[in-house]
Amino acid sequence: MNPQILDKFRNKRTISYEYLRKFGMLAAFVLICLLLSLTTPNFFSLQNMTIVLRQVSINGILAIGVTFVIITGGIDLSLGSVVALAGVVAAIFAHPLEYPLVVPLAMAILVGLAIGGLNGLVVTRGKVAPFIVTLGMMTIARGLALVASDGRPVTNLSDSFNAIGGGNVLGVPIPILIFILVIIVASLLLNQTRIGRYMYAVGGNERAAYASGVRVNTVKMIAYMLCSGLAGLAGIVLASRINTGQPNAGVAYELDAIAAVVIGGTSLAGGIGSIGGTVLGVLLIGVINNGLDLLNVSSYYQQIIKGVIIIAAVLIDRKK
Amino acid sequence: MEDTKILRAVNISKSFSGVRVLDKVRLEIEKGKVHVLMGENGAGKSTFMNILMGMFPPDEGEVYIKGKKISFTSARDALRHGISMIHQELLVFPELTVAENIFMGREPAAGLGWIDRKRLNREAKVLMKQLEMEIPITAKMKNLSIGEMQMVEIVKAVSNQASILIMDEPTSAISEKETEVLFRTLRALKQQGKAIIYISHKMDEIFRLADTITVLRDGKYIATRSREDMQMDELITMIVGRELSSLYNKQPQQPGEVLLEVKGLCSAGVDNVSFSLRRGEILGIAGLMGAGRTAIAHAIAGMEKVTAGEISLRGKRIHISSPRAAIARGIGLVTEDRKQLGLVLSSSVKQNITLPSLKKHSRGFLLDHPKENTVADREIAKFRIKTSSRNQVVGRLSGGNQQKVVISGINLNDPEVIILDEPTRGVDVGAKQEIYEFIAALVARGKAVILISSELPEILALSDRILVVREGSIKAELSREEASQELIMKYAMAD
Amino acid sequence: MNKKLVIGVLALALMQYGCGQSGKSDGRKVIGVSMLSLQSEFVVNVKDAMEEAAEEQEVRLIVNDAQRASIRQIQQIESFISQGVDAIILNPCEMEASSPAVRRAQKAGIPIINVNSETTAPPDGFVGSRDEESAEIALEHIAKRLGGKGNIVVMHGYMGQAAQLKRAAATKTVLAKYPDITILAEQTAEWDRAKAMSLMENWIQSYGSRIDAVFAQNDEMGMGALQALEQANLKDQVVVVSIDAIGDALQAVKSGRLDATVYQDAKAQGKQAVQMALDFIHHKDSVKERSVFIPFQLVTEENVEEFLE
Repeated sequence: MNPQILDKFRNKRTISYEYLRKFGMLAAFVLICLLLSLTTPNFFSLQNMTIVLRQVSINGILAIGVTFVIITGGIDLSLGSVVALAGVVAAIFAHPLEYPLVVPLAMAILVGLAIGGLNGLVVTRGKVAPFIVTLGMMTIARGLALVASDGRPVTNLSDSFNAIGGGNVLGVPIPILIFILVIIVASLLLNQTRIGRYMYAVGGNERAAYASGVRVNTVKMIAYMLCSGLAGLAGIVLASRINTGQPNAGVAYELDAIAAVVIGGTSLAGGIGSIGGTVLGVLLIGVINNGLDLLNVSSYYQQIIKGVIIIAAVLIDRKK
Repeated sequence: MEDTKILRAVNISKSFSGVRVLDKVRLEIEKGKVHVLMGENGAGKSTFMNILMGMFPPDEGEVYIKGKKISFTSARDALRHGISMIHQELLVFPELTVAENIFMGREPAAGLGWIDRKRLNREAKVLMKQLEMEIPITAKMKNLSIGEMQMVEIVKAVSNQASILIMDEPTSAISEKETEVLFRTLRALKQQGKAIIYISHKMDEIFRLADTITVLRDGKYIATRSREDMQMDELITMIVGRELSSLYNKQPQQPGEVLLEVKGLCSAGVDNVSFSLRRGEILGIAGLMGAGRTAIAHAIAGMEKVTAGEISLRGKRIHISSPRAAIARGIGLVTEDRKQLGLVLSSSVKQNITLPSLKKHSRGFLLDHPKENTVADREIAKFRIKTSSRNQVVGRLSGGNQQKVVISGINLNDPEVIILDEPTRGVDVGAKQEIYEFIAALVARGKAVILISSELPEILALSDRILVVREGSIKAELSREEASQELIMKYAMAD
Repeated sequence: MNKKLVIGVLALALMQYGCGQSGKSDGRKVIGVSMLSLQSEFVVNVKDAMEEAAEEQEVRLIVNDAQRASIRQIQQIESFISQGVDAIILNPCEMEASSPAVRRAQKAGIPIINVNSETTAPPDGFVGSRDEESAEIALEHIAKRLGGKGNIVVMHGYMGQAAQLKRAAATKTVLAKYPDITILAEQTAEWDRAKAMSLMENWIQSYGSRIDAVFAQNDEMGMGALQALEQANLKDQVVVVSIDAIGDALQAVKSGRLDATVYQDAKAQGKQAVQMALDFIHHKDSVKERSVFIPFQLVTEENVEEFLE
């Protein structure tokens, strides 16, 4: 390309560029889908698409949650452990004929919210860097999951609980429906409510937001609670999908979620990002995982390819 | 004649995303002269300077240095050709010493990658002496005042063998006294045969300093004149393209009831401050940088914790624990530091305008996008904010337009007391005029204004009363009639 | 002998001084135990068996969790040495990287017994099973069920770990005997049930009804594959066999969902390890049996009742 044209791109920083970049990511996504559908006969089938969506739903729910935290300029590394803890807690209350279905669900989400509240409290009141707080919480929550489960998977769950991960409504797997619902609610929250706007402001310039009368601490608390609450929800979906509460499930899930968020164009510095971008990032990772399995690419190469894609996505992001 | 022209830029044009920012601009710089570049914010000065600095290439036009055509592609190239720029926002390493900052990247080596610290300090000292400066070279950069940091940057440029120094509004953030030091240094640099490109909005400075003046407007070259051939009125007309009746035009105002009463206020950097403020009144707060003017504003606006004393509004004692509380009580602060405290630079113009008053433009917890858009468009028109749209990222606006966004945002809460801390810093003449009109309109509506400014002519022209602050406390209260630059400086500097 | 005595006295003194709570005030012998990871159900089962045996034999166990980090394991052994324990049981993280722990214990004159897996440095004693055997049993069962002919897919554990490598090697040796059985695809699911489920779903998309059998290197992955197959209504056509005999898998075998699992006797391993440690403590130089191999057992619907508690 002509260097002057490139130059114009580099220097144009209006919001309309956001669309351009998003469009670029979308184009990359479509290209990869196209490539996969040409090389693998089953890729583009409705059935496989449904499977991809169901596979990404857990990472999707987590990624949306952590999008809130990252937009406010924070980070949450405790997600994977919260998934395990919430899954174990849900499983403990989900044995057949013990409690109504609502109990395990509510308990898991409450546990998530509580962990998020603790993260938020230490970050806002204790003024400890989010990286440190959630790193600590990562091992605390993992430990709690092991304590609650006695180090063993919690099995023998009720059919109604297992139906959440395995069942369908009108032919659509329930995890996909939950994922879509989370997307809708999260988009509304971020784009149509004051709290969403405040999250961008806090992440963009915390001091200016404070000076403008924004309750910075409250906004952050809400972001962390949303994040961990959604991790609780993801824990339910995971536990019901694998029919057990696994204390060692979800290891490194936070990294996949954060990768999706970053691929989706959300800035780790805060203030910039969108749910749409995150969903795109989640789908991209999901499609690549699925496609590489379909092509039977060795797992060694799979790791390399995924890493390259993450870095490439961020590079595209930097080229604005 | 030819060899005195150290830099020549011919027909420089540049467009960003289809908008022509520079249109056939030219400039000729001579050795040993101060060449002032003037123009409103957005006139294209910064783009022009960035091209000279090699930050990005021009679409058209040539740059000659000492008669030789050059094309540089990076700031390093510009440095190699002897061009250095002292940016408005200083780019320093706060944790390093003065000497280390001066020799950043060119430290005298002592072998094996170690730095020869003795030589570093000795050479820094020599340089300081040459420019008659008295800044301790082993002090950490973060402990210097902005004026001193600027001096260090100048020393750094000189030590870099710079023959052309570009200074972008160097006096916007430093005190009168430091300005004097700066001017003395500039004269010394002239003596050494350096060429200086000086960007400023301050008329008095320009007429004291300039040898030649070039005016840009809307990206176009308007004129170059020597100072002797330039009249102030004429210059202003060239800059704004229209006649400004008068920059400072104070309407007589009858002050009303006491609105704000501060008694024995103490806070970080504020020591036992008391004053009152009436409706329809503009109270000026003058003083040197760091004298406590901003600290007083921050204490009243909830940015800093009040440790003693009381604040009353309409005769009722109030407690202000946060900016949020201050806003709720009708106290608004337009901060001096718009990038750190005033704006979310990554957000849009609209989002910044509505942020402080977002609740007013919402339906419960939900945003009301149509209403918000209407409000933003109305404010953009009202304050004549130059932006491509309400969705433009605010960080891309010029200083004056950013300032208008901040003022508009605070004003949307309709505060009774509005504190303006350096509202015209780094703001062009046209925007300045508009801000003055805005202040006049506020007091006409019975609001009360606290005006903090380093520009004495501004504070003298606008204020009904002036408080002079030094070391965190009020040293004098001057009425409009008795106040003068000399008197203010006297109290600001010593008893 | 003298040197050992000095060290023993020193260690004793240190213990009294430093960590009084682990003192031998009750006169019981102390065995230091460093386990690979107490997040793994199998390892927890081994640990529980050890504790049970220790209770019966009236010895004290100090159980540490190395959390899969060999460096932590080495530190734990060092701390056992300084506490002056009478014997050490090591459940190694890695063959090579955990070896220094073995050497250090031997240098300090404390008998060390490896449980479940090996290290390059030979310990005083070994209690475990031959990991290859488990895969051999599983594959032979699959070959029997397929009649020596068909397509299989293989789910690997975490790539590069000893168990994965050994089970993978055994898979190849067994299949060499059956030229009509082909591996359609093999991939890691990192011992994880959710990952295995996704992997199986993807394979079903690629190969559909061509898959005749699944061999998963552990039960977690086997359960994940099973669930994916059930959801695709393919379970009736596909044989699924995995290894470990965890509770969930045994239930699945009992209800006829999982075709077979291979029982690794955690209980026997734990018990034997404690027994061997005591043998070493009581008559150091005259222990005859220095390697005890606990055989694996195939668990199918017929014999599953024996393994359910």
